[in-house]
Amino acid sequence: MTNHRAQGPHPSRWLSPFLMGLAWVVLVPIAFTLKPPLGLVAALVSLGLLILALVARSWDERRRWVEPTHHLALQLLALAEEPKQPLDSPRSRELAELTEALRTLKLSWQTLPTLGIPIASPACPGSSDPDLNGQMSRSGMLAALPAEGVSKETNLSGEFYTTNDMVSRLDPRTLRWLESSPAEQDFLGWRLPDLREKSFLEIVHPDDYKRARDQLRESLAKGELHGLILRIKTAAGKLKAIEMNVGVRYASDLSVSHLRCHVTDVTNKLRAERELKLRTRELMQVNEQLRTINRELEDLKDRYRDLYQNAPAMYFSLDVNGRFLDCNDTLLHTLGYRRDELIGHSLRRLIPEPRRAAFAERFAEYMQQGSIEIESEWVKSSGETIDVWVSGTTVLGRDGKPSYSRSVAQDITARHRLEAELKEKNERLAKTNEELSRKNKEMDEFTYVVSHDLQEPLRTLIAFSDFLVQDCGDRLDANGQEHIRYLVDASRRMRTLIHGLLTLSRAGQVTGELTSVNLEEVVEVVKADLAELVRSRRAEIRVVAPLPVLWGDRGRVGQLVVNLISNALKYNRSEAPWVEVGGAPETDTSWATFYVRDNGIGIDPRFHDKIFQLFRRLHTPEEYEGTGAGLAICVKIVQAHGGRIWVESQPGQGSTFFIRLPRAPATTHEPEEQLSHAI
Amino acid sequence: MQSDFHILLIEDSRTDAKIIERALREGNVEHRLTVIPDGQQALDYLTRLNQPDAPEPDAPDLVLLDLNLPGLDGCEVLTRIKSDPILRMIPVVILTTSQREEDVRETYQAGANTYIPKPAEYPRYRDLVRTLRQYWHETALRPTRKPLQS
Repeated sequence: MTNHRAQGPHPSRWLSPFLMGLAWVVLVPIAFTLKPPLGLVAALVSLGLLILALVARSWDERRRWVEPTHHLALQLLALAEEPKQPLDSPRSRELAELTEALRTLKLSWQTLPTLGIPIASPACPGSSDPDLNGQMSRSGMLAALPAEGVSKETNLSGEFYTTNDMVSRLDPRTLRWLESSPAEQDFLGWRLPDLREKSFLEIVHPDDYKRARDQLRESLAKGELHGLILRIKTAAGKLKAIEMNVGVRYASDLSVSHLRCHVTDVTNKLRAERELKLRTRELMQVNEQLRTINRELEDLKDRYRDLYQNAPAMYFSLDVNGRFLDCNDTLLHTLGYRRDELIGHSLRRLIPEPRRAAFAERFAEYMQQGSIEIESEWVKSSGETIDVWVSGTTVLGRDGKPSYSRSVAQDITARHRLEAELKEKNERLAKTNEELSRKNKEMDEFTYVVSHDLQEPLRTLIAFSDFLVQDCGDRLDANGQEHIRYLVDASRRMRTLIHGLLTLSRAGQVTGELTSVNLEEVVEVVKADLAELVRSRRAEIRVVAPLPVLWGDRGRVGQLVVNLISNALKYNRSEAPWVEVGGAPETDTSWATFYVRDNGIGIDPRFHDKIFQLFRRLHTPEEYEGTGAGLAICVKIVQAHGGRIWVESQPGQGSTFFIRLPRAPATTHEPEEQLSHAI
Repeated sequence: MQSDFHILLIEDSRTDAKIIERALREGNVEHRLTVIPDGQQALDYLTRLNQPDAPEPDAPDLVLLDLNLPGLDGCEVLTRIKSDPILRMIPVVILTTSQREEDVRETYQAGANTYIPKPAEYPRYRDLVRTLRQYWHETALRPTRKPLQS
């Protein structure tokens, strides 16, 4: 412990000025007025006094500055040598003492210029500042603070060194302002008298209140607090962020005197930090998006590369001289080359020898024109040639001139071969068709002519048999008459057969104009024609609309319908026979299918083919009359139209005949002519 | 007032001709029947009637024409008759076995007055000739019968 404590100014302080005063006021005049030996003595004495003053001064200085510093140094050295001590041991108190001493020293140094006390010049009168009393730190260092109780109004320029720093003193218990620097007062918006009524915590933001209070309380125990960041509200109502450094100050009796606070406005800094955080987060998001996009881009690139390389066509690019810039895998596989064999080399390489010479010129021409489509031959690496179809376009560069050519080629060898085969097949087919149709025509004509010519002898047979009976009947005996009867019957049957043949051959010749045939109308006419039959059989012919509109020979179609409906009514033993005509579903829009259904005797599936044959019947003429030509005629008519006819039937369950004929095109709107005597 | 119904039958089949004959006879149709089995002959016959010194006093009232003729076929005969300014006045009825539409159309186009398919049964022949006479001889008016001079 030292004894560098004083309650007031030290006597040594006055000594030096006293001596100096004495020297100048008393002795120097004596020195100048007295005669030489006395004067000299006086001068010497005053000199002596001056020297004494200097010494006193230096002693004062030493006491004020040097000794405490020396003491400090000693303490530090002692501390360095001592092992660690528990917290409340004398040594830790010593440490606190030291820290305070150092701070005080610092303050003292910094105070000096404002006090006007030049440290280096000892002989300045009026050097001591009457304000420099008051608080001492525990180590006796001058705190250079005015004493408590000094005027509350004054601008404490002593402590608050630059006007830009915001410093204050707060009461340790109430946290009310005791002092505040002008800068701080400006910042907060209150003057010191108002501040002294306020507790610091009053201006703290409610969310930070608890933290502020707790931390400040802690600082009382710790002795200091650094970097406390709070939000406060200024007098103007503005929200600001501050960073506070707090130091505890002690009175000479070791009690806490006040909290010394240094405040910095970090609003902007905080805002800037927040902005930065935001921006960083945004940047990270953008980064993430960029990464995703990049990934997708890579994917896309891969897919396109795959598309290009493995396209079902040969893609390639040539430079302005016809050399390969690039080509896809398909081209390499098709031709059997490696990529390095083609890239950089001219397309000429693929062209068969004889045509190579013309290549350069043709290619230049193409580059001029900008596009080309030709069939050509290329040579595979095996030497084999294939037919190719090549299409190319030039791509213009920035200068507007062609910069390269983009092309696609297809191996059409297979296609050519198929085309040739198809052509040949078609020709053969056409020829066969021609043959067929010619034969058919011949057949029909033959049939017609034959049956036509047979009619005359038949007629003679029949008529003259009749005449024979009429004229000579009485001269014939029973035998003779029977003979004639058989003759006549046979002739009649023959005539029917021939008639059937005739009708058949006529049916095969679709000689009428092809028009749209409204099936519903046709059925109406048939109903009228068969009216007698219908009435006598108490039958019903009904239509299930809508019936399709067909495309064909109206007369023939009518004949077809008549035959079918007649058959339906004929081969029918029901009490209430009916025939129904309706449309059937059809998937191909160029065809129409309709049916003729009856509740007749039905047809055994074994004979579904036989019934369509000419003159083939399933019954005797005694059972049902007819020649068996009706359905054959239907078949002929249907075939002449390119259609089809078939039956679905079971014995005893009626029959349904299906007929498929060309459908009239939807756009024809012909006025429906009346069906004349076409049948 | 014309009681004499002169029919020219151009028909190559003797039996068919006989049938018509019999039909006319049995049908009690007053008639005169000329049968010429050949087309060219028939035309010559008709043309001769045009001359002033025609041996036959009158031209037929009706021509029954079969299409199926040897040599010059029926349609050609028809055409020639119908292109002659005098001869065309004689009604020509095509009586033939064919029922082909082409034949029907062709003959009407050539100027045939009627097209009748030959009946299949003899009794129908009787009806036919009666109908023909009724229509052409009794119902319809014809230009007067006189030497065929314009």
